[in-house]
Amino acid sequence: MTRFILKRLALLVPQLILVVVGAFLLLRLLPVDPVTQRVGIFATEEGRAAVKEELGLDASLGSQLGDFLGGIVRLDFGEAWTTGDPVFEEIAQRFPITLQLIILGFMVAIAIAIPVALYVASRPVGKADKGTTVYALFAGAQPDFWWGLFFVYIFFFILGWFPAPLGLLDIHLIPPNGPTKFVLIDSLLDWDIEVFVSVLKHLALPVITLAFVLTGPILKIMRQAAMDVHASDYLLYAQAGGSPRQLRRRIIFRNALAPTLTVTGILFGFALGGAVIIETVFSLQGMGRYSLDRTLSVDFPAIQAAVSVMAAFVLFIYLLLDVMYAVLDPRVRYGEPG
Amino acid sequence: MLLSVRGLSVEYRQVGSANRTVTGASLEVPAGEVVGLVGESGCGKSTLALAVLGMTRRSGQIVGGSVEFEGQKLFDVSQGSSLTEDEWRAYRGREIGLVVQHPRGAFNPVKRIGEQIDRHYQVHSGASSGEARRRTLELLEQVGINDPQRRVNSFPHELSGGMAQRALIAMALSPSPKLLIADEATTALDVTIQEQILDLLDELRRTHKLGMIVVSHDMGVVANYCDRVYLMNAGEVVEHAPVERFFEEVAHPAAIALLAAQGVGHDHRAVRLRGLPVDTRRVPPGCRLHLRCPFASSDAGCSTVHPELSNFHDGHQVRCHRAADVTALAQAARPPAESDGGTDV
Repeated sequence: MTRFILKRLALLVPQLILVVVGAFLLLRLLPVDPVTQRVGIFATEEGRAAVKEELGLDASLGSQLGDFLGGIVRLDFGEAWTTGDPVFEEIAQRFPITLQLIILGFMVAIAIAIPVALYVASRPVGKADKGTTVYALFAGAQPDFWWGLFFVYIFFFILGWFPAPLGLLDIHLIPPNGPTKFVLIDSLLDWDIEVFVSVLKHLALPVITLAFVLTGPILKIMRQAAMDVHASDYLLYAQAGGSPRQLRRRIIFRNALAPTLTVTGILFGFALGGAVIIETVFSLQGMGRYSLDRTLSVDFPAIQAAVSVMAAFVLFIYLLLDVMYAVLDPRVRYGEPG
Repeated sequence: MLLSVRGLSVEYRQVGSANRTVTGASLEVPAGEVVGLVGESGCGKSTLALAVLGMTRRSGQIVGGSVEFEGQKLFDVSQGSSLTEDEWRAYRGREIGLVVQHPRGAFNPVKRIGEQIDRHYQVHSGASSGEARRRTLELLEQVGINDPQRRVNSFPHELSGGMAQRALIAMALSPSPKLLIADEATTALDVTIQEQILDLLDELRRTHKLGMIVVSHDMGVVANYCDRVYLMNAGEVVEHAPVERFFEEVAHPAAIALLAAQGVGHDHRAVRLRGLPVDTRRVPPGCRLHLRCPFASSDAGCSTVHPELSNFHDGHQVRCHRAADVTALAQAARPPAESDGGTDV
């Protein structure tokens, strides 16, 4: 097992380098000229050269890449062209907002999907099973921004249960300045219950939206995996061997979990990339909005840093899932001697 | 009587139809005896074996009959009585062990073999994990697994078919059941290992008075290890007899066909059932086998009257209108008396 993890970790290094260099190079292949973007098409040659130098684009591609990679090691992504602020600081402010949203969304989705899937798999073609199938189709068939708007309409506009979709905090509250940058955790650390509750309320609708869309596929895959275990010889044999019911439940859970994890990991990557939609609907200043805004304003340092950070995070999640999968299912520990 | 099964019927419900794969099967196993359950593929042997434990595969249902174990009724469909899930656990695995044909599929793929055998023993005996492990090692040794200390740490997919089969037998034997149902338990093994395992089981039956149901289509195994034979066809028991009698004076066409197909005692060209096994969703009127049977005749009522299981000799019952003729013809077809004497009646 240790060997498997070490091997998998060793694989992470070239993956990371590839992703970071890829982000850097692809950005420079884009058919946009950041200099023209800034000075316009009527600028003089001297003006263009000055801006080019200011942006650091006069250096060779190799030395730009070297600066970028060297900066990463020092956790310094340079200054953003649009704001002049350090990119690292900007991302440190925004990434937690997105992560907080996505992680909560996944937690809610998994907490609902897994027990429901286990239940319906034990009673296939029952009412509950049909109901969840319809739900999964329904939730998956409509785009998440639509669900977001729908929930805002119902729960804010009609029922008034949750606050307006404007940011994370009521306007009069001061955000905590804690160590984790996760408002939810920092407010708890400061024991500022008022802020904590306000954040919870503001997060509720985006989290519900995300969970509503994510529960469908997780439920479907877990249900199918659990059905496969139900139909398996080993479960039948466990019953014929007199295994107690709770032991058989554990067999079903454990064997159905591994494929579900894989799908969840893939969904996580998509959710991170698609966060911009929910962030826009709910006016959250997260990573999705940040990446989109900076891409539209051709802010090279911000874009390459944002892409690298998100990609690295997704790679890390994949790593975590691979390790969990290997713990759950010994058949994938291919690195181990038999 | 260790086990008596009476009139057992199992049905699989499919959309719009019901498939009765076992119909009114009865069977008895005395303590310490080995009963062979034979028949062509799909005749309902495995379904019957599982139904003894009150179980079916998904969508299946036991729709008739009863099972008694040591005089204790396990279930009786006509009275609507059955053990509860918890009461069953005193029989499943503990009193009645089951070994199936695909051993690697029978183990939980994500747990080590040793853990699974330990757990099986602990569930039934309440032993500590240390005791259970000792028992596991001892049994693995007994079934002929080399280096059990190392093998207990293997996962099911790391074992060869033969090794997994032996581990499964060790697991089934660990709570010392009184009845072992071996559903094609040695079919997948090569001949030498098959013999080792069968000899081991044979020894256990003598030392522990272990009763056994051996589900097989290998007539050699049946001839060598069984005391009594039950032959199934199209979901029905069509012949049963003490093993010597069965091979001496076989009376059902399906039995002759099975023996002939394996070249045991009879000329293979002599008797062959035509076509595919009977589809139990659409059983023909009369004898279920009459469309395939070379002996069938309308005079005897094969195509109109469903034959009952009736006494052919003492302790030898046959479900065939023409049993007497069949036996005579089969005897006549025996080599070397006749080299090409067909029995195409």
